[in-house]
Amino acid sequence: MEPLAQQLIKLMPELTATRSLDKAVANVARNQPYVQRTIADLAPPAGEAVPGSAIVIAAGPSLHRTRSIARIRESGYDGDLIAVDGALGHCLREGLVPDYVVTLDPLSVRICRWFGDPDLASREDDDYFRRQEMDPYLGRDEAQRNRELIGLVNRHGPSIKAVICTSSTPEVTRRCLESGMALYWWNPMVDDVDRPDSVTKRLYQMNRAPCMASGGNVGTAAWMVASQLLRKREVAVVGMDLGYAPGTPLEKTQYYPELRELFGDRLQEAIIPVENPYLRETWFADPAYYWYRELFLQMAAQARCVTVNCTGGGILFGQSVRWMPLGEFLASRCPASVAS
Amino acid sequence: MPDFLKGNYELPHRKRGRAGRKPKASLTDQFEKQALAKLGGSLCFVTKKGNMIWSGEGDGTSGAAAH
Repeated sequence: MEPLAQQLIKLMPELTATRSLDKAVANVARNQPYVQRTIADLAPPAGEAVPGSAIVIAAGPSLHRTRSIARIRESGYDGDLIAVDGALGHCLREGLVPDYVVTLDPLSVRICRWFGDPDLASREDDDYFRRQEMDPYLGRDEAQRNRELIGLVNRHGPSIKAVICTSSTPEVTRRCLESGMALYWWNPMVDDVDRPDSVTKRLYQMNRAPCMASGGNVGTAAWMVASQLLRKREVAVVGMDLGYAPGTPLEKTQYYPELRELFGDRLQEAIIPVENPYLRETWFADPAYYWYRELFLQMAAQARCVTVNCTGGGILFGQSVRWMPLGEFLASRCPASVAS
Repeated sequence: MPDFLKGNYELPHRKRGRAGRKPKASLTDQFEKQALAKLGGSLCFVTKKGNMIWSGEGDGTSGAAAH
């Protein structure tokens, strides 16, 4: 790893706070009128054993490369399905309706697009969806596909629980409500609650919603919902690449415009190659994704559940995460499975 | 020692040592933190040992460690 990438990874907690904390806190206040139910209403009673498994559906590129969503649907898997916002459209197009959708990003109304944005025509032009690899379908014929997504989300919203962070933009809140989703709120755990000046504690006092560690990104937050909130014994993850497939053009990576603007020709020094020993492929990550990966592995090591990575790609592997092909996981959890 | 002899030269080895060691600027010296912050994650984060969900003062969990 190049020294530039190392320095950036070290700075990530501070950079993330600079980038998002003020906006997150402002959004908590703006969302206050909407906070009725909280994630406490989803938690099984204390002490009660919770059998079974859940699958967390993140929005990494392997979701498309390995057809994970179609295979889950075809298998008849009947455990809980917890999707991140960026994977919602892909799930619904494939006919897989998740039980929960998790959203948290405080930074941009663009997150609304994952739910179908009724105000797209009046938004500033944003090339993000043409560049992103999470749901490439939405990057073409954008207005038409946005309308299609609005219809899908409105049709299935009433059967989906939104596990929504108070840091989310109110535009996302209103969109979830409009689609008929039931909203279950949580506050982000942004600092040590034992500090006298704790921001987290202040957020809690505003709305009495439980505070949850997010792992810095929505995929890890969705894993938190399965492992810590629903207390599943076994949590499989798909689409949790936290990295980019070999050969992905740098222009298609999440932080490309920012890295190019800051480092110009040195951009490549900020990119981290990671050899995946299960696939014998070299994937790569930007500093934020690599930081997410390190945090996830630490959190998984603390959790009581078994975490099984069925992504079939990416950089998330280590002692605390069991690597398993999705077909093997589905076949053993749904004996009548047709998954391969 | 006459005043005019003071400080008008440096010992050769000290001079080389200082000139050869360029101070390494950190990233935050080179860039505004606000500019670098564009590379940050979605949401800041801390872990709590044992329990990563905190439900108020009566929760009894503590020991959060900032990352």
